[in-house]
Amino acid sequence: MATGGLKPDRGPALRLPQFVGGPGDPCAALAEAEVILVGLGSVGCAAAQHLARAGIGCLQLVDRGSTKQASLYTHPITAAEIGMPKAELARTLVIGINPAARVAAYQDAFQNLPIDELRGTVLLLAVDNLETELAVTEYCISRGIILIQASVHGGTMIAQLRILTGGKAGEGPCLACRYNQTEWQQVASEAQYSCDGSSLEPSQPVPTRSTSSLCSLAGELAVHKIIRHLLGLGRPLADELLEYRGYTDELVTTKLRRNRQCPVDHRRWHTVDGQGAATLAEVLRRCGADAAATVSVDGKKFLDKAACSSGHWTSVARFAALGDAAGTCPECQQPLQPSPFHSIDRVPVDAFGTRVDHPLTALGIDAGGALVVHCADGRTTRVTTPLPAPAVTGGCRT
Amino acid sequence: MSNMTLLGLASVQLCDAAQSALAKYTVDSRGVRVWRERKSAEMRDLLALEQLAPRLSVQQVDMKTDLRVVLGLLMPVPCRFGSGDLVVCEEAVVGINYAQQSMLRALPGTSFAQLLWPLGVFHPSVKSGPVQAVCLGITMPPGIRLIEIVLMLYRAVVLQEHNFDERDHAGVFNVEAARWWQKNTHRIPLTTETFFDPSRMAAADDHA
Repeated sequence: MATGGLKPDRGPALRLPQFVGGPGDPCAALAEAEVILVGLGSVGCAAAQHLARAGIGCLQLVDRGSTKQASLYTHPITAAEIGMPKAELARTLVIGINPAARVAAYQDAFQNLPIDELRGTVLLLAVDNLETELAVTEYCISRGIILIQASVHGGTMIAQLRILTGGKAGEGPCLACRYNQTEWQQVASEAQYSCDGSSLEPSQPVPTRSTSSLCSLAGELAVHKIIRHLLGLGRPLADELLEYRGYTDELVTTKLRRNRQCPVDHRRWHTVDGQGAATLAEVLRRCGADAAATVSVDGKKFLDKAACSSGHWTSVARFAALGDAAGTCPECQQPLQPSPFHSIDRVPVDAFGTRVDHPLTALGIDAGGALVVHCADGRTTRVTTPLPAPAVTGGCRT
Repeated sequence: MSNMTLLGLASVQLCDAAQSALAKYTVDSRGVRVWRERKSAEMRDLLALEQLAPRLSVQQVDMKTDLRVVLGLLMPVPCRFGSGDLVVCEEAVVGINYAQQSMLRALPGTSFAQLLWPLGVFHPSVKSGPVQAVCLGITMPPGIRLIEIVLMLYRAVVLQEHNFDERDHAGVFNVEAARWWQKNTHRIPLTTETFFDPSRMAAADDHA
């Protein structure tokens, strides 16, 4: 077949076909694509390989774990790679296949990442941890990012994809829409904290029990969907569950619908450029918010009051992260301790009073920090200072 | 036969004063529909519990963003002032902050409750100092109800449920208190009374 506009010496162009009904230069389209891959285990690592071979231009790889002996039987690794961080392993794999790819690898839980550094139009999720699922589903639904979750059930030879497009105006389902009591109990069992509020080391996840071929199939089906979406091939992605049933060789598709009682906020966020905004008043003006709005900052709580060890209570009135100093007591100069009852996630704008005209930093809002404005009319606006796209990395971020 | 579980609170008819109070509290409630409805439901249950439990009084409510309540509780609270003897106060003022993320996330057991009064509480699960946060466990499951937090708080403070083991992987909040109570287990619990008399719920059911 003719290769059309493809340059035969350009990496994947050596093998990519001219797709019927597809763009003239699929290589260029895939090279411009940005995909986030969360979970680099049996399914995710296989997917990473295929995304690299397809020539995806920007990949962000996220996994906090390392390979183990058992990984040898489901991951595309050799014995020499046992014990390696999965994110680093996948990065090396991708760069080895496609040196031109821009790859950022994060050896950490998704929930701990600098979220605004991530960029992508599609996110492939391949984890077996519901807490991460929740964080990812909130991230995708709020930003209008297509989420494809790939998983397997080895005992019944089922490879499964959940495709969530977000729907129009945030009407689409999320992963939590299907959760029942069992799933919510599992979320609880996955999160454990010590008395100081810090997370305890999570219990070792149960390794996937499946054939490597089934894991690979799930990853490959997901990559196939991503490539089709990026090149506009065939039927557009829809909110659905796709199952390959290995015992009967059936491929079954089921529509997914939104659960109206789902506690996840399904509204899509707007984004406003916060660069140059010096005060909260300026930010609110850019967001079109009024006094009935509320504001929050990712990863921080608003400290209304704090107390020193001498028992003096002081108004703090700014945002602070867990563990950050709350300041010093004006009376005795002792450090102030934040008070959980006086620390709130969201603050009504009218509670700031004249402080809306104070510098943002005086309110504990850093430039580039994720300030979110929740308007009374239902709009949620994320105020960001744009960050540069990740370049090719020389290592793995931990 | 009445439902003696907390689910039975839904059948408790709120008195006129409680209904008016609920209406007043919800006027300024903000947030997405699911969260506003959840706050109203939690507040309704709390007011129903107040009707059934004479030891509970709802003193302040703020439903603007998080659901924040200040409660008066008639319950024994162990205190120690300086290096003096243990003193048991018979009432407390508690602040509970019920945030929107509690619907979705499993949060630390320290996220919710704080003893605002008395000061000087001497208890393994209560932080010493002016900020007396209460640790209710390693994890609080997503979707935990406000009334469950109130009941857990009661059982924890009066030492009907306790953890003294500082070697526990979650730790204890007040190590000195944990060690003291380990040597004084004969004083535990501070009361064997339940939070409320279940027969009051049966009576409420009969009236409904």
